[in-house]
Amino acid sequence: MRSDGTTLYIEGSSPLHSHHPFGKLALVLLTGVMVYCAPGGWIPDAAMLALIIILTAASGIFPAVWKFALRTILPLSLFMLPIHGFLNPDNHTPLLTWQSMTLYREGLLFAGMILLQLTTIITASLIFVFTTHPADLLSALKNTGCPPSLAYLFGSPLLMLPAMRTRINTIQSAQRSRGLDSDGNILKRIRALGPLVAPLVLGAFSEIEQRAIALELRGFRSQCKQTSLREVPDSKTQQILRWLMVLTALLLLLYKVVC
Amino acid sequence: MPVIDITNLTFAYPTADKIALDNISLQIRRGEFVGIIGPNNAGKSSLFFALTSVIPHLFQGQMAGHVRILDKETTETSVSETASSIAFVMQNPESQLSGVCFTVREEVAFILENQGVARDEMLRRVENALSITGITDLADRSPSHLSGGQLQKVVLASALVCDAPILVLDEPTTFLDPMGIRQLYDILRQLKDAGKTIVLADQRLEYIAQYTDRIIALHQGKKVLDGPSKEMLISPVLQEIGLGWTRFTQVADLAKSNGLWSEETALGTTLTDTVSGLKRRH
Repeated sequence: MRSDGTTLYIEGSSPLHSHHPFGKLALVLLTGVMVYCAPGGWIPDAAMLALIIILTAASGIFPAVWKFALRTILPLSLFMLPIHGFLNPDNHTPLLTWQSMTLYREGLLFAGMILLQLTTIITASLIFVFTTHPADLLSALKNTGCPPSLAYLFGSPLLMLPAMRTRINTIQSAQRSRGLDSDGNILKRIRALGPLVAPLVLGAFSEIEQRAIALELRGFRSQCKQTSLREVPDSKTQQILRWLMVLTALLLLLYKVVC
Repeated sequence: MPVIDITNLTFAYPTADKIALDNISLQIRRGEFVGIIGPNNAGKSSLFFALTSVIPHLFQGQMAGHVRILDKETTETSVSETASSIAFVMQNPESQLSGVCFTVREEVAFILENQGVARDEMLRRVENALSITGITDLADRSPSHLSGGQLQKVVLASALVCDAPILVLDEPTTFLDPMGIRQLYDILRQLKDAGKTIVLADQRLEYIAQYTDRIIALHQGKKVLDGPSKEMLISPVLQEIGLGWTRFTQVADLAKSNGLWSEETALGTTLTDTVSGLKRRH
């Protein structure tokens, strides 16, 4: 299925794309726990990052993942490296001195470690987001017997966004045609917010009522066991793999608490 | 036995100062195609909410009288239960989207998923509904990127897919272009021929007169007209309630006053059709 601009999903047919959404969620969980709880300093983080690099390259999402991740990590690096390099309280091994300022090894290593952890977590999450269509996640949730309202909670914001965007544009055009000046300095923009937000909120309330009726009429609260049009492939191997990941994450948490 | 049986139905919304439905009684038989007409705030939508048990289950105002659908009292059946007997298409298609479906096919299948229909059966019924409404080519598109007319067809397909014996449509032509309106009415005629009972509210009298068997007019919550479509079109009551000023009803009136009106054949949906029809007759 092609992404329609409402999600970050990138169409593909790699094994990662067809992997069960819960498996990829388990990978995100394991990554998050591993980078903070695993012993061995930077080595498990780097190993995990290497695995993620291989997975993104194999599933054809390498450029998209890294473009997205670097957009977050690079600005952070620009702040974190100098701040910790110059000002970290544990600094004691000077690397470089310029006028009265000294860059220290410990601060740089600390910032580097944090950035490595963040990069690993962000890229693991992006693997999930870029290779899992939200509809597959909703179907997977439904198949577990999860209440439809919970699936609705996950799915509806993604689909409401384009409609909301269209409505904002319509209201903005309508108010501008009636003389509202929503450009210019910050004060003008704040003053223009009222006439733009009020119709949006009131319209949303009215639509919520109609949508609730429509959902009710379409059996949303039916007591039947729900079925799903969309098939989410799963296998015994995938199930074992994801339970192993969850178990490893739990063991690492236990290790962190005990040691 | 009527499939819809309403007796002395009166309803007032909790916050409104006037009655929405005022002592309405009507029966609709299986296979009938009934047009509901009336000016704004006449009570058409409220009547449909009562038919689908949204009144009194979701709108809890003051209600008196009885509404029976396939011999079941709506006060005793939930909205979801009534939905298996009545499929409802509301006026604004956008607000009827589930909000959790990423393609038209999934949107149409939504009610079947909720009813626990098996996947193979679901696929068959969805493809059939898409084919009837002529939107098979939209099946893999996102509903949030469709035009109003296309959405209206998606909503109609979503109503047809559950195969309910009664179909209720509240002004379904609002977002359709002239070609789309004719297509919709042709689809409805096919459904009627297939045995469905159809109740439809619309402001387009020319279509209502040509396609429906019977017209019921509402005004200020009261039923003011009820009879065969061809007779109702030239009723003076239409003028009184503000519905008689369309070009179509004026032509019908003129035809009647000039002795050209025939109750056996309805007028065409366009002036050209009407004039050719009259010429053929005389």
